[in-house]
Amino acid sequence: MRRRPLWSWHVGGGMLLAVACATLTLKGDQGSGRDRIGFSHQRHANAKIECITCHEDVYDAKTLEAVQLPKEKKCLECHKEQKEKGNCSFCHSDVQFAGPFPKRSQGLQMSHASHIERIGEDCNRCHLKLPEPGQNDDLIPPMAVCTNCHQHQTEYAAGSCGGCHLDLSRFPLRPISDFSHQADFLRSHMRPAHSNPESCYQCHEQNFCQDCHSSSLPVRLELRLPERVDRAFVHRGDYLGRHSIEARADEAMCRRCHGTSFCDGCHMRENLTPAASNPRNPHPDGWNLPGSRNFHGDAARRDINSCAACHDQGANSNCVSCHRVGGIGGNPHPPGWTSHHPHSEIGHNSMCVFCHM
Amino acid sequence: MAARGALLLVLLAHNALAAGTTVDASSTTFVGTQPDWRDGQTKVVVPFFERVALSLKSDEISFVQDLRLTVSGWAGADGIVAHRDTTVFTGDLDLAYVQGSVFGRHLTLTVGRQLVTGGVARLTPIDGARAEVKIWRGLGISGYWGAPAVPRFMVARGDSVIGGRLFWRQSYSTEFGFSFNQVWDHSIVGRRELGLDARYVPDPKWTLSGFAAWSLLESRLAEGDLAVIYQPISKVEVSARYQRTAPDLFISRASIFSVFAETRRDEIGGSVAWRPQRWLNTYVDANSVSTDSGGGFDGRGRVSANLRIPSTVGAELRALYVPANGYFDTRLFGIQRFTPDFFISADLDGYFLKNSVNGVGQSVSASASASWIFLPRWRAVLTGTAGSTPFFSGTFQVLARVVYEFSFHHQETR
Repeated sequence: MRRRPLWSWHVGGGMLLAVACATLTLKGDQGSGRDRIGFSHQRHANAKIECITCHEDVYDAKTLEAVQLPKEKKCLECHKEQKEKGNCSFCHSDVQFAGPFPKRSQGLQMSHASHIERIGEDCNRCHLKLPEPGQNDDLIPPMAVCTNCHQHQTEYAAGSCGGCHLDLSRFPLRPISDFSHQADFLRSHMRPAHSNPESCYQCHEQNFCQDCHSSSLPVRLELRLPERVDRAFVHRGDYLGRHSIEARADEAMCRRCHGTSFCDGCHMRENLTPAASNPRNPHPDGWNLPGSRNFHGDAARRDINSCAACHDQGANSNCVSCHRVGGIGGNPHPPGWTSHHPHSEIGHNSMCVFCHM
Repeated sequence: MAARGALLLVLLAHNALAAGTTVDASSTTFVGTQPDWRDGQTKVVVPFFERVALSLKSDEISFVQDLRLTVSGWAGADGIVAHRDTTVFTGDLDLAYVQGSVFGRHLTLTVGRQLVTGGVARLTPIDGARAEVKIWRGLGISGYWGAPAVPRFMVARGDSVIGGRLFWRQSYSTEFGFSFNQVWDHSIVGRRELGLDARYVPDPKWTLSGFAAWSLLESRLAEGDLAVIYQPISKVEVSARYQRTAPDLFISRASIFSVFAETRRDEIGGSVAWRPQRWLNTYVDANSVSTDSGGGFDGRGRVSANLRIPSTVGAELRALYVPANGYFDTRLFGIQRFTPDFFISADLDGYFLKNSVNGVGQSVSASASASWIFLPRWRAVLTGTAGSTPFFSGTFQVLARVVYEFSFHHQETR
């Protein structure tokens, strides 16, 4: 086969990139994350300033999205003189990049409004630690804080997490490793799907399965999510060049998603099948020579799916003409065939009749 | 555009929805350039596709619990510009079902195009109906009947299918099942299987799982799988597994080739995942493969680090050797997040073949992407890939994707 050079550009894509970069430039001075607010909770607590003084919207916040961190004007109620003096570094680590706090993903369904009175406005009941300058630790209250009050064994046993958790996908290892998607989950996820399908559906809908398992969409998953280079995909990179090796390594794996016609359609366009308009012979020398290291009988026994990828045309399959009873190809069945398939089966399987007329 | 119109309708309809209703929807547009080989010639094609997914849930109807409507489909053209004369406008419906539970969630019915999972059903798309009855204390039974959905690539899965599963669900992690599945194909029974499946967590550190599918037509094992996962500490996970498949039984009995195929493939191996630091993940696995025609090896390793910048970098190795051929693959990847809304990613992948393919012994490919949330709920991704492979001495592709996602949760908060 001839190697083909190909270089092309998509002008529209380039324009999109240009627009993206231009807009990014406009937006780059907001919420870039390079500016940090040097705020000390401890110092304010020592000054007997109550949480509500700054976090007043927490009282009415029914979702985590509704919880807003204090805006600058709240700080200026006490520290106005620092801004008037131009002492930006009193709060900002890099005022050049000052902007709104970045949005936080809402992974939980949690109402501050319904909790705050029950706990006597004692925020420390849940917020065991509060951020201090220079700290990068994740200080979100741990789940144990919730389970101190909310007994949830029933929900946990039933896998009914949706009452609180909107998204379980971000959690890594145990105790949430029961739902872990780390390690070799790509290869192993069929096991819980076989035996625990309802557990999967607690977090994922069938739409989620179809993102990967939809065999109808012509754009394969790796091209649909090309930016996720950290994820494990089956067909990543130049899969075309190695697909024959993968197919021989695990034929059943291909067959779980792809039918014979999937292979045949592509091979026909490449003129590799007898059904193509100008068929080429892809087989090595000695293919029809018994005893040859390239003899087709051995290759077929080893990897019949590769044969079927081009030659599966039912009664017109080219193996039938030689291997039918009385043909020059002889009996093609593997050893022990008759012990599993009595002669009476011929009458029940139309495929048998093509050779056993 | 019809798809966008449908989403607009959903947005308008949203105002009429009762509290307690949740709507999740997404619309994804793909456009790009890629090489396409037709009639022995390579041309550049510009595929364009629009995909829409919609899920609507309501728990406010008095006698039906968890009422759910799910639709997912796509439409597009596969070769505009370069193949004006042969451009195919096409589309498909992946999912379209209604689901609801009655009698205090003891009976759940699903009707329409859906995925059937569990036991020997594996993951089968059908046009039909499925019912599940929860009998008592985790004991339940499910059954389904319909026609295997034949998607665009005409993956023949038979003319009709019927099956069911008896299960005992002790907890979210422990479940045992006994299942049956039969497929008719070209007027004969193409597949008839009994299955046993189990997942058992005797201790939080141990997970045992097994699956066996027995072909009633062949009176032998079509597929078997045993796996043990051990997590001595939270940062380490060790697993061992054994898998047997009968490749010939994955070809329908209605195909002439099912009588020639190899009948056994065994794989045994294990893996170790270790997280020495919060930011560092490592993983390695090794598997020995044995078939009627010889043995082979399949192994891989991976290390990735989530740095504080924040960025992610990683490397992967893979070796796959089977009797006919093999390859050794190396891959580097990285993600750099500049803002919560913008990141770039890149990877470099190269593999070396044991025996040349098309006269070439190695393949190199690389990609770079930029992902940007340019408006709330709107994401744009632009990707370029380049490479030199056994089939293309040089190739370059550009892919653009725009995603619009919205979600309305009208649920009571606790």
